Amino acid sequence: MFIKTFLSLALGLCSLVAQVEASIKIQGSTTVGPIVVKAAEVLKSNKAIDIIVDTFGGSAAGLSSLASGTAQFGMISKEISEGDKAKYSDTHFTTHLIGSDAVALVVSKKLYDQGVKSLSLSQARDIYEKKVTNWKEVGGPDQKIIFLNKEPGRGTWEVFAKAIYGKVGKAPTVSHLEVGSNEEAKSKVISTPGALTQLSVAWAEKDSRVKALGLSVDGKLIQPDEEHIRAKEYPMARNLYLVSSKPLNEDQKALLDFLYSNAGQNIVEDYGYLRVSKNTN
Amino acid sequence: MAISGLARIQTKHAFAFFAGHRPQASLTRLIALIILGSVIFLSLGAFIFLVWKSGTVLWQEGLSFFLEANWHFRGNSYGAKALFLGSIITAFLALMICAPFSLFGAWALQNLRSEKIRFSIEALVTLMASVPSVVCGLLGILLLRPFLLQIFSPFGMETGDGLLTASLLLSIMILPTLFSLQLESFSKISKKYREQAFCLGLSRTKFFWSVVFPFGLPAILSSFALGLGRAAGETVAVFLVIGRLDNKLPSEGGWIDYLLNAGQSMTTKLGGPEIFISHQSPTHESALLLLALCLILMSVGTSTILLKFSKGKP
Repeated sequence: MFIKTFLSLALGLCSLVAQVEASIKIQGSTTVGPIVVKAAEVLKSNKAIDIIVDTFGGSAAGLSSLASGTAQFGMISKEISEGDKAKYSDTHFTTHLIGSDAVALVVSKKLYDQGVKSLSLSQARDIYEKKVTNWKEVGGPDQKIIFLNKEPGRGTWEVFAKAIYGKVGKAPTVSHLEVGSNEEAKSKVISTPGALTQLSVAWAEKDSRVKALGLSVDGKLIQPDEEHIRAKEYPMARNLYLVSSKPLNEDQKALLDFLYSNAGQNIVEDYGYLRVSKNTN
Repeated sequence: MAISGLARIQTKHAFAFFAGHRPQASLTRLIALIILGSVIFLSLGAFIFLVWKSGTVLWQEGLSFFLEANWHFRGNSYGAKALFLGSIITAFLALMICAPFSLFGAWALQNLRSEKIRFSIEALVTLMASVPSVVCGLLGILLLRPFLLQIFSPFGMETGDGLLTASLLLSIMILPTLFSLQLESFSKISKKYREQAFCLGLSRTKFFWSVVFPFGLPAILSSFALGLGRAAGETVAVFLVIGRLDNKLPSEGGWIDYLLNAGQSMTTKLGGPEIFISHQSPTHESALLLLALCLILMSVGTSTILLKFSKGKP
C-alpha cells in the first residue's frame, strides 16, 4: 500500500517536472502580453507547444526573471538600458523585435471633450512634478489633476520618463497614485474624475471611453498616430521586444518564427500595434 | 484556551513518541524527525535571513527608517513611517467597523427562534470567508469605490481609492472570522445560563451585558486578534483599492484627508513590483526585507498580546 502510494506520487512528480521542462515560461510587459498570449494559443493548437505567460511586475520583472532563469523569454516594452545591463552583468540579453507602439498621455473622453486635447512636454513635466495641479492651467475645466503614475519597473513609465527628462535617472522623486497593468490604468482613468495616466496607444485606441492626448514638441503638435510613431517623431514611440538570454531550442525558435511570420505580425496589428516593418514577408 | 490545551497534549505525546523504543515505528519516527527538523530549520532560517539582510538599510537609515516618510528608492532613501501608519490605521479601522456588526449580529442570530433561518444565515456568513481575496478586491473596485466616491466627494475624496475604502473592504473580509468565533462562544454560554437568567427576571439586554459579554470576552478578544491579523496581512484586496500613494501622512492635509484619500500600507508595498527592481541594489532589497520582518513581528506581536490578554479572563 505504502509502496503503491509512493510510486504513484513519484510518477506524478516526474510527469509534473516533465511538463514544466517542456513548456516555455514568458514574463514581462503587459503591453507585449496580449500578442504573446494569442501566439501561444495558436502554437498550442498547431504544434502542441505549452507557453505560460505572466505579466506581473512588467518589463523589470521580465528582465529579472530572465536573469534568474525562471523564464525563457522576457517581454520588454522599452529599450534595455545601460543600467539594466550593469545590473545583470552575468546575463547576455538578445533582443527580438516583434512590433512597435507608443506611450500616450491618456484622459477620459469626458475631459477630452471639455477641452483637454494636447499637452506640451513641459506641461507634462510640470504636472508630473506637481507644479500644475488643476486642468484649467493647461486649457481644461476647473478640476484637480489626478496623476495616475505607472508603477516602478513598468516599461511604459520608463519610456515616459525618458521622453520628458531625457534620462530615466533624471526623473525627480515625487509620490503619485500608482497603477500597474494597462487594464488597471485604463479602467481607473475612466472611473476617476480628472485623471491622467501613461498608457500604450494601442490600448487607448481600442476603448472609446479614453482619449490619447497629442504632444506638442517645440511648438509643433504631434498626434500619436501610425505615421508619427513610425517616423519616431512622436517622442514616446517605443519598440516591443521578446528577450532571451540563452541559445534557443526548437520550441522557442518556433515561437519566434511564428511571431515574425505574416500570421504573427497580423496578431501584432490586430491588437493595435505596428508591424515590425511594412515589408516583412 | 482550548487550542493551547490541545497543543500541550500533542507536545506530550510527541515527546513520548520520540522517547519510546518501538522498533517497528523507527521509519515513521525518522520521517517525523526529518519533517520537524526541516520545519524548524526553514522557519528559523527564514527569520535569520530576514534579520541578517535587513542590517544594510538599518546601517544607512538608522531610526529614520521608522520615523520618516521618505520612501524614494530612486533617490536611495527609505523612510517607511507612512507604510507602518497605513497598515496600523487600516487594520484597526477595519476592526472598529467590523466589531459592533459581528458582535451584535452574532448575538441577534443566537436569539433567533427559527433553527432553519439561523442555520442558513450562519452558513452564508461562513461561505463569505471562502471568497478569494482577489474577488473581494475586484468587487471593491466595481462597487465600493464608486459608491464611496459619490458619498464622500463633498468631503474631499478624490479618486475613491484610499485608506477608508481599504478599511471598509477589510472589515467585510474579516467579518466571518469574528462572527463565527463569537457565535460559537455565545451558543456555549447561553445554553448554560440563559434559563437561569430569565428565571431571575433579567431582560435580554441585561443578560447580554452582565452574563454573555463578560463570559464571552476571551473568545471575543481572540476573535479580534485573529481578525486584526488577517486585516494586517491582507494584500491583494487592499492593493487594488488603496491607491498606492507613497509617503502620505496625516500631517499633510489633516486626518479626514488622510483617511479619504490614497495611501500605502506595508503589504501593498511588498506586494508591488519593487522586489523585481531591487535586484542587486542591496539597500533597496534590504529595505523591503526589513519591512517584511516588521510585518511578521507586528502580526505575531498583536496576536500574542491579545491572545494572552484573552486567556487571563474567566
